[in-house]
Amino acid sequence: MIALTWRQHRAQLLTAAALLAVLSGYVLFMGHQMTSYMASIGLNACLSSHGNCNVLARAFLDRFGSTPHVFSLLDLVPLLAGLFWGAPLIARETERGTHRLAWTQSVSRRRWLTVKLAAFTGAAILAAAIVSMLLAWWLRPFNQLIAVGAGGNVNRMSPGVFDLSGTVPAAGALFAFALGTAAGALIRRTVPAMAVTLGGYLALWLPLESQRYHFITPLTAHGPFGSTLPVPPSAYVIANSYTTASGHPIDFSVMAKACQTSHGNQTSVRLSCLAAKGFQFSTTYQPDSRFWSIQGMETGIFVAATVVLLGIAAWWAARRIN
Amino acid sequence: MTTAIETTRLGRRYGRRWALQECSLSLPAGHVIGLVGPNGAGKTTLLHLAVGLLAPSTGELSVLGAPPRAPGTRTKVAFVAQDKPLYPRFTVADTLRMGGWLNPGFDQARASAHLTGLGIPLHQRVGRLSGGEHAQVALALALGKRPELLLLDEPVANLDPLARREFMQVLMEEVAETGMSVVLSSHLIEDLQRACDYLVLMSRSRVQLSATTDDLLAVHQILTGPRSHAEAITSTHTVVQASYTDRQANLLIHASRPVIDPAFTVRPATLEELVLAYMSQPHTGTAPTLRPVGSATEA
Repeated sequence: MIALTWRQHRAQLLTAAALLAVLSGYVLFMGHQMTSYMASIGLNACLSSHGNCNVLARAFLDRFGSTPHVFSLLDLVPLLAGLFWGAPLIARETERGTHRLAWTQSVSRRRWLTVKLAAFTGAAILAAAIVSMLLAWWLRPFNQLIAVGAGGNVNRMSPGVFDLSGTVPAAGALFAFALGTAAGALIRRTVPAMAVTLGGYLALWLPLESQRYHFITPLTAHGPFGSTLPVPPSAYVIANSYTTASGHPIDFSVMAKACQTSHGNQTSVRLSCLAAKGFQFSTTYQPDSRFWSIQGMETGIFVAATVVLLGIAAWWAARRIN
Repeated sequence: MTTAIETTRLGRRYGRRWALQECSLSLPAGHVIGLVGPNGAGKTTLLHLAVGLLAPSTGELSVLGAPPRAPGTRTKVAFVAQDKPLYPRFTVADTLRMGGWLNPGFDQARASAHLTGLGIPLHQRVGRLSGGEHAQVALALALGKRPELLLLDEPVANLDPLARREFMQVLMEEVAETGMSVVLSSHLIEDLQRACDYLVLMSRSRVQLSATTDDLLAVHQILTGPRSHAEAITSTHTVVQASYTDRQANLLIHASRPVIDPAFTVRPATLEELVLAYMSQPHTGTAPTLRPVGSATEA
């Protein structure tokens, strides 16, 4: 059965492996570029001597600071496991009637399904683990700079990066695969099952994307205008806001009017005036220390949905397809 | 005599529609059994129940004396589904290898030699084979399992006459060699009458008739004679089908007693005539007319 699974799905698995190889090649190439650039401008030496490296760091970030966004383009990569592995798994068989061939051999239908699910589940976890390790490796120089307060704000807590860090990409890929498999079993046609998989994945992923920083009540720091708030640079800042001296929220434009001065047609706001009037500045954030807690919750949601969907798919395939 | 398939009041429902109902059959092993009936008669449903693709809604069935989904049964029963599904991107060799992966005791070498003998290249992708070659590969895959019971759903539909003959030839050679039991369905009796020695007739989700072809041919006769004499016959014999012109009567009867009226010419019915007659009858339940005959000949 394992031999058949490989013969039948090797094209899908090898395509995924090839895509991963391309991604790995790109990450390794860019990683090499980053480390050699850091060495060439003396940033490495500066960091190891614990000096003030802000200027060198700025040069580095100007050049490479936007590159982690490559990964935010890949946020929906786990969905591919649902579209190209899950949706056709049963639907392509029922479309061609080949399930009547596969399920009437000496190997039972249950074993057929178990081996296939195990193979793709394993492949999905492996592929996602590789992606998240590549991303973690990529982020190492950025983490170093953030740790010494030398600038930069992209780390594993950032939106787009969080999705592909830790255990979430593996859980997302499993969810997508399970969703595709269940949709394929119920609908029995590949293309509609792919469409349902896309819609279903977004239906869970979009709310997670907007709500994950609120799974745990965020921390808030506030202080008088112009002061430095004790927000760690590794934290993800959800929002900045302003309040009056009495603590009422106030919009920046309203607050600014109180301290505007005009020189001809130029308008400026004096910051010292804002501080003097008692305006407060506050920041809502999630600290990096909560990374694994939030990862755990999001992973749990994906895995729970995966278990339910695979159960439905297996039940349906065993009972309702002939 | 062992049974190939035994069913008791077997039924399968899809929602509120019955695809098969009140099916009680005992199909003896060692026969080539034709399952004949119009499209939608329940032939495919019966076969799917027998190979465990479907679970019954009501009733019971056993295949080679065990439930169809029992591991022991799966290894002894081979099935060629309608349209003979195969993986089009597999080569012929891959397809036979798959037979080995999925079945203990699969005779891959023999299947390969057999297909090579038919001139089918093993390296060819299945999707590029002709209809006849495709059918032969599907058959070789089923036969490679060395089944005790082979079930085929409309095996020769969609085949040209030459491929049809070759397919049946290979099948019958294998039957002669191994003595396996075969059930094959068709909506056309012509496809089956030369190969089958046992007939199951289905229509409207029910079994109409089940008997060996010898028994069927022995007890059915066609009488042609004056219409005025017909009444005497129809009152004493079971008439399966009657058609009349102004003067003449054509009767297909179940001749449990000899006909002595000299005004009638008597000739044996052909299988084709029998099938057509029973098929156009309003439903009769599970072959009531044939039961006594079957038991009488065996006694």
